[in-house]
Amino acid sequence: MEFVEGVGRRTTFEDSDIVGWVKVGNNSLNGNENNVLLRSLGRSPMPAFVDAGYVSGADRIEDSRGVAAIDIEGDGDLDLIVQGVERPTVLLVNQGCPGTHWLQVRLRGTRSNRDAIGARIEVRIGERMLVREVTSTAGFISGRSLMSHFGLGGATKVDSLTVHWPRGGSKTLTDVAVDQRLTIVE
Amino acid sequence: MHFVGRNPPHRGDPLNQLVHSEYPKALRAGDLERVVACFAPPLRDWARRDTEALLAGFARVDRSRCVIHNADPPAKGGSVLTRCELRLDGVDKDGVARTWQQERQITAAPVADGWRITAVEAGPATEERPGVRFVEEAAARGLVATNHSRKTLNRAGEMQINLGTSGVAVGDVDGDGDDDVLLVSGDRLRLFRNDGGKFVDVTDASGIVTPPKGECRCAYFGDLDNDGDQDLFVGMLATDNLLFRNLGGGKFQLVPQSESGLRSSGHTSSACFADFDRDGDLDLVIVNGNNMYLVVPDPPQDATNAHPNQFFRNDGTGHFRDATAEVGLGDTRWGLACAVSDIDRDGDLDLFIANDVGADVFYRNRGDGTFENATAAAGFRFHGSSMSAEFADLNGDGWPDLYVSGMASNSRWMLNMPGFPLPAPAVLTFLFRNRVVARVWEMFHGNRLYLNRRDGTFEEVSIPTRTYWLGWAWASICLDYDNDTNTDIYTANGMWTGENPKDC
Repeated sequence: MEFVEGVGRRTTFEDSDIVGWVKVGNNSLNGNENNVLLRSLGRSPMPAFVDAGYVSGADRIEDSRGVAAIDIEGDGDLDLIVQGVERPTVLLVNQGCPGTHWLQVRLRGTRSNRDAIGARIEVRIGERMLVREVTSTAGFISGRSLMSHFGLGGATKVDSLTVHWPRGGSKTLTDVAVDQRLTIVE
Repeated sequence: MHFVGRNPPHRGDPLNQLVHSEYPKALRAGDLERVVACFAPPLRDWARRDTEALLAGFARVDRSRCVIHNADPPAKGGSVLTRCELRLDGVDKDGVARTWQQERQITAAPVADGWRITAVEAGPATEERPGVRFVEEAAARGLVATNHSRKTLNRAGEMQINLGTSGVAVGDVDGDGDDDVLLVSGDRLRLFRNDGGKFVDVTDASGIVTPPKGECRCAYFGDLDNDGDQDLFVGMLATDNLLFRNLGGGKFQLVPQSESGLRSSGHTSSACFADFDRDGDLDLVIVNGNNMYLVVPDPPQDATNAHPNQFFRNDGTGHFRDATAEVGLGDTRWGLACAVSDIDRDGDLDLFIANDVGADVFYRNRGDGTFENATAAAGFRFHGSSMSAEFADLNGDGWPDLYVSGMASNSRWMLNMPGFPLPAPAVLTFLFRNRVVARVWEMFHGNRLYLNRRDGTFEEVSIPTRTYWLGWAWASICLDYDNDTNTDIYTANGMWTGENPKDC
């Protein structure tokens, strides 16, 4: 952008360990910038957040661009893949969320598109309703997993789970066990 | 970030040097005398006590910053009141990580040899301690790759690293129940099979090939022919986009453009699959931008000279027809990202397109797979530097809210100073401030959180929720990383990340 000094000009390559690693030196545009993890503190009256990036170890300083959430081990917590410009791929493995339960749902459309992209999944635990929409895209230049992940806190059972399919119609399951991957067919 | 070198240093600059740079740097160094020297003499006893108390909580400070959110025009004598956020990251005496944060109103005034802090008002402090932790294990898990740009020519005739690439896609390509990973480096696509949390590079056997020219940018999996496996779309710069058909079991075959029907713009930023016309197959929206290294955004504060966005209708077999005009898309803003959701729960999917150097556009689905521009009606304001967009329920009411990334600059407050950027005739200054500065102000606001009002409109709450000032932000994703039922946000930052002597 025109009013910014030195965009992309004086790049130097000084770091010898990794070929092509960008050593930025004295021409950074915005200083040392780390990734931020905003931990939600809750909802009322509007959501509040605190930056847990440093204490969680997710505050990478690597000119990051694309990011994807993925549960690589199927152990019920979300890991992060972080891509950076001229940087090695970063895989942040979640070390676990003790005392919590989870549910992962993969949909298969029959009348609707097979991936059920556009479906809405509602998970009810007590008074709380958790909602996810199945989409193919995430954030910036990143493709999202079709596996919908629900953190359930301390809940030991899901009271009901309703899928609203993209071409209309819905399906409801009740008393669903937690800590499992579930495939639901239209 | 700092502003152009062609202008003489603005008189506000010493404020940044004092409040944003010297004060937090001295705190990080644990140098009590250097901290105290930032303050005017009457405040030095207070500064000494305050700093001792702050540092007593840390055995080591790894990072400190004092972000200037806003500044009032100078009062008599030149003193400036700033609203800041002071933050220290480090470990306590037991070696446990700790983040301490406090909003502060800091007044600074010029003196003979520079500037000093003359007043401080502190808000409540917050502290964050370790909960769920992440450990970097790419090498141990076999997810080994480095992103490289093939570079592009810039206006100065130099080869320049492409700064907006390095994507990733996640999907179960072999149908074994776990998600595999496609890493998108500018010069190479790599497919990794997930074997129980360890990764094996299967690119060569997969049939996924990287074109010899152009730059890979983004990738998305989806079952385009409804045959039960994940096909792959790859968005490219400076060459044609790619469509790979999954033949089953993660073996891919490149589909020629003549067969797929996916005409390319030559500058694709992102894309999404969704069934917008509800006929049971996935259509494809492709968001296009333009090459900022060669093309000047025009008009600069709300540019519309990029490649048109595209809409391709699927015939059910993975063959596409360009239906951009008939569905009402195809604007030529500098698109970077898109997000899809049924925001009003009327049963069809709506589309938000995040644009750089201009306004974002929200397209409401009329119900038949055609779109109307409902940006203003839905309450979306001018943003000007959007990089990323994602719908997710962030306040727990069950309705999709929207989180959009953008640039935040610590020098933004200078725009509000009288006479910025140069003294000029009053009428010109008035025009400039209203037409340009107001927009530049929005461009450097940072990220935005829009809450769904449940009536098809949104309310922006990024300032009260403190979700805006994160950095030069790119991807922001919404996820519940600690399984506590609340939706958290992870934002990727950086633009030549590193030390900047002018701006901490």
